[in-house]
Amino acid sequence: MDQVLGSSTRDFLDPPVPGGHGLTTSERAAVDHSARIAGWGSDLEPSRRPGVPYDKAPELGVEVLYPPIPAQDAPFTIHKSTEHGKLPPVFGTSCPPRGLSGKLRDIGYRFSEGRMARWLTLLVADRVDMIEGIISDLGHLHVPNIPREMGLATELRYNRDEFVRKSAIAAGIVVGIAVIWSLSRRT
Amino acid sequence: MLAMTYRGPYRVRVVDKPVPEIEHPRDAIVRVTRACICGSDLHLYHGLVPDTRVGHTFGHEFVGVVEEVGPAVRNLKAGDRVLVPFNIFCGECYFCRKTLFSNCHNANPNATAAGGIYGYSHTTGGYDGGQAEYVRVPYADTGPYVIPADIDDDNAALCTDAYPTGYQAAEMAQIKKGDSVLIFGAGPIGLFAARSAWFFGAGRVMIVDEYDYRLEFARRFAQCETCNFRELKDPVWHFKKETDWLGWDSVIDAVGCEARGSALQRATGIRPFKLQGGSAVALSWAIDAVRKGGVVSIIGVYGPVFNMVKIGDAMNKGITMRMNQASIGRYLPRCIEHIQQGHINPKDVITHRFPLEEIHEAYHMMSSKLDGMVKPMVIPRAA
Repeated sequence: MDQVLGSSTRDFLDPPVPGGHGLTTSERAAVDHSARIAGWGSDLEPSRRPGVPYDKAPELGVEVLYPPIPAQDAPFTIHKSTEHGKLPPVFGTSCPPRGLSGKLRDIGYRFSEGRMARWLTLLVADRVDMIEGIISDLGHLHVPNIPREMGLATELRYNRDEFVRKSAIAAGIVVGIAVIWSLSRRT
Repeated sequence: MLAMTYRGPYRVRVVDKPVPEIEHPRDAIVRVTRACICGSDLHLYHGLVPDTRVGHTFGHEFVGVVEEVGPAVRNLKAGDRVLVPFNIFCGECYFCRKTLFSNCHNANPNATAAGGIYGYSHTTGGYDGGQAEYVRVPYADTGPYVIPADIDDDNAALCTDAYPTGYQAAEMAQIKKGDSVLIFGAGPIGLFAARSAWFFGAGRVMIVDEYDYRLEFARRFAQCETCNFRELKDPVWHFKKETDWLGWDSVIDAVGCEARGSALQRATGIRPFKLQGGSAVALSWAIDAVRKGGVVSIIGVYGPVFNMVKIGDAMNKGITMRMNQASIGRYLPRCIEHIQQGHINPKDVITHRFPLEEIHEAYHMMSSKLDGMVKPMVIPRAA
């Protein structure tokens, strides 16, 4: 299987269709771009549209909301929305809740999806999780290479002037704050 | 195996993780051969989606080869080349039977409003995603689609989300022959929506964005008109004027929660405050730009709390608003037919390719719109 790294898009297509004004009734009736646009009008008929009709089974009732599907074993606490009638049979096991962030998530999931408290608590838990991640890294004697994780090398490669300008401004602000703080301590 | 992991806002790291195992009889394990970074992955990357945990592997656009199947999976076998729709769905529930696969009720314990999605936080089920060498595929007897021999991996990867999503956005816009269609966002979804709008018989298509390189790309890929709203003093006035004051028949919001163009929306929806589910500038402009009785189609992603949008104007204008996460399985067969008939070549939107080990650079470049990036593809070493 070919794997071309660093390839870019070629110049491949025809020029755009000009517009620039609202179509009149006769223009609308006569419009046909099929000569210049591949596939134009091919799904014009509703029967060609997969989403028509939108509701493919309007007669269904509530008994099929939770069909009998064998349940996956839960290796740790799976947070369930309070708006679910039961725990769905299949779920992700990506990241078990941990530490303080996990406790906050436990709290967040006590609220329904209609409550701002639920979502804000989960967002706060995410930030706490980030700090716990750094502590965990250091605990394993691993200093995270944050500039690399942020992909900042690409700024130097593709946006050098702007990156240097922003870095200089940031450095200036830091130095300025340090000077003010130093002077205020002396006085 | 190598896998991308989230470390906090704007930070990702490639680490060694255990190869996933079968956890349910309907699971499969897929070796990833191609994965893409989606524009909506940036919402995770920017720390905007609640319950995005450190260590989570993103990636909901991937294709690969089946390595192993659970005992209940009869329609796949090891060695099958599959594309995996980004929705995880059971195929049996109330919503799946209506083919609203993105709304499946049995794949996401964490929320009822959202369905299960690969690599998209615990708010969509807590499943690891495909920006890795291997991935667990739940409900493998309903989701994965064996890739036809005449569809290559690059095109197949675009069929897992971006292309059918753009197609659905255009379909939801209820386009009739000769209709004028305005699309906010010249990212891959907007590009595919524009291209698909022609399939539905549009008479006129225009894409709006703030990046000239993306608009140039849109003119060539979608053969449509373009507009840079940064050059306009009053964008809504301009959109109306463009239609000789009628308004657009259909408007598609392919931007979602990180829209620019209003300091108030950004301040209250993104930073420093998160008082609404993102910045709803594009949606508000869509309501303004559509004609009375027209259709607004929302495919851009917003957060799970309320947004400031012009619902009063929407009511007064008699607008139809249609929206949903794309149900890939519903649209995939027709989208693949378009590829086979030569109407579209989705992989033309891929501008950059990265080895998985350098995915941190891909994320930063996509987030900062560097080097003319439109769509990055990631290739694991096990491909």
